[in-house]
Amino acid sequence: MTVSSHRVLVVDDSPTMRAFVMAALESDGFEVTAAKSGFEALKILPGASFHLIVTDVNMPDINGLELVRFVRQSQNHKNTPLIIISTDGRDKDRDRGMHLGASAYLVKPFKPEALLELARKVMAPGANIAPMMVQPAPKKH
Amino acid sequence: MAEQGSDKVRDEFLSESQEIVEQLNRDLLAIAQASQTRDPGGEGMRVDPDLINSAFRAVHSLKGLAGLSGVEQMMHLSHHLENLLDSLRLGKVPLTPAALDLLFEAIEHYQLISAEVAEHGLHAANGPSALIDDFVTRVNEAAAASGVLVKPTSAQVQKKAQAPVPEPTYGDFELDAGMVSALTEYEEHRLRENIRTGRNLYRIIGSFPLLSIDVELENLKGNLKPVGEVIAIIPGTGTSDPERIDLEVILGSSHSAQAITGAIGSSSARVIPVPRQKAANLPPSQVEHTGQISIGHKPSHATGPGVHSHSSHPHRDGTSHPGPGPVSASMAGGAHPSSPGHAPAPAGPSGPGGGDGDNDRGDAAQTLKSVSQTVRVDIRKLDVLMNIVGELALTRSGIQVVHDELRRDRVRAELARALQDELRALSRKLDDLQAGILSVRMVPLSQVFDKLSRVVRRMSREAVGKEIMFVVSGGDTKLDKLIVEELSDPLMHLIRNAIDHGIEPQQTRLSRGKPAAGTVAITAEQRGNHVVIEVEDDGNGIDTQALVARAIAKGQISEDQARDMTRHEMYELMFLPGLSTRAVADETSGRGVGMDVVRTNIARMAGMIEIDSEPGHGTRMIITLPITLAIIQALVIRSAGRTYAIPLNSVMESLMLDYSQIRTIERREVITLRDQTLPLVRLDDIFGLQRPVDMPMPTRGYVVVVALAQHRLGLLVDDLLGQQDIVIKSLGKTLQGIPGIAGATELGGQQTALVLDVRAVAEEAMPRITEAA
Repeated sequence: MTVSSHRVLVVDDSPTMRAFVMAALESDGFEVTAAKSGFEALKILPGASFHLIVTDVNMPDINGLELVRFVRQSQNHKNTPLIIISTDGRDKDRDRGMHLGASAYLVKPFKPEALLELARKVMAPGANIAPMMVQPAPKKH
Repeated sequence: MAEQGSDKVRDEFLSESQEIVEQLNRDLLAIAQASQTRDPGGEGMRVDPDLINSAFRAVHSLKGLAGLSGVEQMMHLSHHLENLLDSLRLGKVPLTPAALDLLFEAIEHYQLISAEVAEHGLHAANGPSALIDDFVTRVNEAAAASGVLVKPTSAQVQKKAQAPVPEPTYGDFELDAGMVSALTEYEEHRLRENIRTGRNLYRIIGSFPLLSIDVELENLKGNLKPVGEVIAIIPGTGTSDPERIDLEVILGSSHSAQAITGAIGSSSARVIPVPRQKAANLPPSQVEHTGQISIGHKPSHATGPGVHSHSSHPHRDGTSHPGPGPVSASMAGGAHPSSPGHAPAPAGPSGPGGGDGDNDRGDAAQTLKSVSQTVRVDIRKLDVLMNIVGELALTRSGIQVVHDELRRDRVRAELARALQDELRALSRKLDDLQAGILSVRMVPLSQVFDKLSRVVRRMSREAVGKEIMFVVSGGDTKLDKLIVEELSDPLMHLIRNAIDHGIEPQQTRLSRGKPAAGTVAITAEQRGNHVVIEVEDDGNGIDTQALVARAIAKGQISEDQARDMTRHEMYELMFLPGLSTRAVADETSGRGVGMDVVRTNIARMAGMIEIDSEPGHGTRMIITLPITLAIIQALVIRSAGRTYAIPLNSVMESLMLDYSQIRTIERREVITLRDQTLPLVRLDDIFGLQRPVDMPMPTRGYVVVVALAQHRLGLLVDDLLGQQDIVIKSLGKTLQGIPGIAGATELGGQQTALVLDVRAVAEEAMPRITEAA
């Protein structure tokens, strides 16, 4: 299946990790928007619509879990597939993320193919998340 | 750039990892500093949790970086360190001096790996390493030390907090379950710690314009830092205004809501105490509403009387109500927190609130900032730019000459004036450019001092029976990057000497009436165009008698010479190659191991080193360095028809001299300058210059007085041509290593001149001085 022109938001505060995830997704035809903090994601999300969100968990200020919670309570992304990237051994954080509504998790370090495979899975129609809804940008007040 | 692709990847890896390791080092030093205040009997140390978290994040980043770059050893190392730091920040393992040592040791491993990669490429540090495996084993042992100590130790508990809460509850705080569910394990741990230590919890709710949220949040965090700990920041959901974001900060603090509101300053955020079940310390009316507020609630437009409204300032005047929380009329109706369609967020004043707190921003945020605003530049590229500036300056001088010619021609006087104006403008811009490039080259000495602190820590642990207090000041003094790089070895040497040979064992110190802990201090200070660095200890001082005896035994001075030596001349003996041996140093003199090398290294940076010591009380090493080597000021002189440049930083003064004033003492030429005898050296003698036959021996000339540590030396020259900024250029391989010559320079008008290495010239002359003495 081709995922070309699917828009994805990548949230990670580590420049290297961000670059790595972006490169992986771009190589598969995703149109990637990057946010270097939870904040930046908060700024981007309300005015945009993504087909997929990939976020790190451990970030300063707004952590990835808070972002999951925010996304799931938002109007325009409440059903968007969301992958959390967590570190080995931090099961508690990962469980919380899944509980808050993340679609899948990926444990660092991982290979680009693993990310792409997971992305295909969570984006596939009939994945165990509600079908993706692409909403227009939120109406202005 | 002619860089190979793989070299580029390697260089990027190296510079990025270096930056992170430096950050880690800073964090560890700050932790070490903070841990000095630990309870002597405590098993753990009380340290700002932000610091440990910052160290954790640094290692976490290194792991990611190493993983992506394929540097396996670094990944392996980071992975295990990360576990240890994670346990430390979660309070699963107490922070002990041993654990801290381990972390400091990790920095050295990182540097070894980096050195390996720098030398042999990215894949050099792959495959197993016994050294790292051994270290990792110890790290894992430390991380496993939890077992018994899952709970933080008593030392971590503030005194007023009695009876730690044993269960993993949130005390009697009524926390919103949704909020808690989105905390990371670390944040949850910090929340518990704050409760356990008896702090109150507050929610600080604000609505921020998207455009300025970064600045405003940084300000808010900066303002909150002094009054408490920011445990988490939670985004509000369901914002109705797309231009704004609602945020809630969870703060642990022992201050009152009023104090916190005051600390926030003019920001539009509101402070709400998290209610407690018993609510013993809150007036009932307030409990009633605050109890209904939970996460996701937007800041209401109705702010209570006790809290500043958007247009007015918070109650700084002290006349306001003492009540802790806001009283919000609209909330009293029981509005459900996450009910959509709630009143829109108020348009608070978007001006940055209270910028005073900027300096208190969290480490992590600061790091991110500095990374994004820094451009890493290879110093060699700056050298190239500097050379171009130097050459432009020469071109400018050339144009000046043309101008002077023009001016003599009356017809062209008009043109000359115009040219003069342009020249002035050019000069100004050139000066600016030069200053700009120089400022880029400048780095703070803390880059070296931080490294030293780490090593001193380790050395003082290894020094049996000694306790060392290392005091650093002036780390923000800036010097040329090249000089800073070159400084670490000589400084390390001096400090090692101070610890090994200067500071006495505790017992000796006590018997001498000194404090048990010896102090080694390093200070830096800018004085004009120089930076003075002093390494001082309060130890033995230098035993000059032993030093002299040693010099006589080695045949470096005669007994007669020794008799007439001043104390400073005796100290100078330490710089003689091979004079001081361990045997002497350990028991008596205390210094001198490799001091000749130290002096040579410092002289290479056009610096000087002097010694001052008071027997029984301590020793001070004073290093004077120029701020930069890229462009120096020089005195241009002539001797026997040749032109030389003398770096101005070694010139004390110059004076005109009638040769009849020269006296001879024991075959040495000297003059008396302000009642002191100044030995003279004729530059033409030193270089064996032949005077042109048609040039008569002058009867008068100039003395350029140069300073060399304790010595003053007069260089006898024929003429002074003036001062000039020069760029020193290397003489190339064939001519390198000529004693007394540091390099060559262009003087404009196609002239070149050799630049004197004053130190070497003096060394050439020294034996003669000693003979004369």
